[in-house]
Amino acid sequence: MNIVKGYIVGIEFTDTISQIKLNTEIGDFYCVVLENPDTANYLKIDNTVNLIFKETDFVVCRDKIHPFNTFQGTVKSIFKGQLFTRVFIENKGLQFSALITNLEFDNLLIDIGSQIYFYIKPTNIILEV
Amino acid sequence: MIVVDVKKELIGYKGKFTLDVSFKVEKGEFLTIFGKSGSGKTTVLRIIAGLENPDEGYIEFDGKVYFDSKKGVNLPPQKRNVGFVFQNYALFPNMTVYENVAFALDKEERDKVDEILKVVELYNLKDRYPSSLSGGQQQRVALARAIVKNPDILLLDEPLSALDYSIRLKLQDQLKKLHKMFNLTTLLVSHDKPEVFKLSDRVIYLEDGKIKKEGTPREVFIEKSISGKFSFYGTVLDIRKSDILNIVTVDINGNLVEVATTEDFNIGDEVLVGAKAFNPIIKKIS
Repeated sequence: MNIVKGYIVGIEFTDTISQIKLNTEIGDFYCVVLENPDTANYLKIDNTVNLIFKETDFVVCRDKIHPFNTFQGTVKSIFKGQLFTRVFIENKGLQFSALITNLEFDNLLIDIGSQIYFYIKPTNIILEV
Repeated sequence: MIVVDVKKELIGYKGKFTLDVSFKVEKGEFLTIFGKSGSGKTTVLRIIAGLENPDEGYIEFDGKVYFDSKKGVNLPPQKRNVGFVFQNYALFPNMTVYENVAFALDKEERDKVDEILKVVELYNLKDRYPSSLSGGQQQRVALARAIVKNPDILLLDEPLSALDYSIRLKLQDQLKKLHKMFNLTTLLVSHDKPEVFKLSDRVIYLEDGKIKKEGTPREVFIEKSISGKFSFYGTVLDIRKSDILNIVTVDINGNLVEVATTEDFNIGDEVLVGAKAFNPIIKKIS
């Protein structure tokens, strides 16, 4: 599980769903939740929340595939198992880990010290208040 | 309705702190006081039962004053119509199951004993002594003894925490059934979140003697804490290492689910299992 602190900078919403723009140390993220500012009082501009990214929810890539929800990092360590690889990256002193299949990892052709991108879909970010 | 508004200085492991609680319990309600060890939970029950005195405060049961420090009112425990179940059963070892339950009853009330023993499924064991019963059976005797007098409030001090997991689940169901059947007003002390969810209408979250949060179990433990709409409390039953992952089996109210994670857990950990509402699939069972 990866956690990064962020604050809300924008909210667009329907009667049940909100798209929230969050500013964090590692970049801007969009996240959608089944709430709106009337039903959840944490949905306020400038409110601080934790963004939780599950390790298996990242798309790990060598190039930036989206202008948002992507952050870059330097590969610090790699733990390879029989089927899965856990990749740790560092960005601005924060560590993040992704769990990808060996098939994905082998295709990336990366090693310790490589610069890579983590992308996460807006529907996969969990907010913790 | 029961009104409790009490203060008492206590000594905890971090030093002195003041228990300062004010709450009401509606008739027929199942209220739980949740909190860590040393937060003052048990003291609240003991004060209501009259086993301990607060430094100051007021306790009222349906208009009848049990305690009022300003007017010097302090009803002794035997004059307060409360049923108390302790963690360690507290049965008389030299009395049979029947005698334990009938202990505090007048002669004319004795016919209620058979009835209640049938409800808690102990009628066949009524002539046995506590030492020949299992922990779960002993606790059912204690429960029967506490409710046979039709108490104004049933006070339960972590009554199931010494029992095995499967017995605990069974007794939780029985407790819920008894609460409804006898229209009891119940105040439970527990630190087991799944238990709190299963049994309580309302929860008071006590921390260092003060009420930190109050509401339904959902309001107190889930809402406004995590945005996952697909979130459940459960207990870790099993952890298997597989490749570089841990496969954690979690019991969520009797449903077993498996979660793949890189985090480490211990068997028995209480956990929140959650996902975004966008991620689970939903499919009609044809």
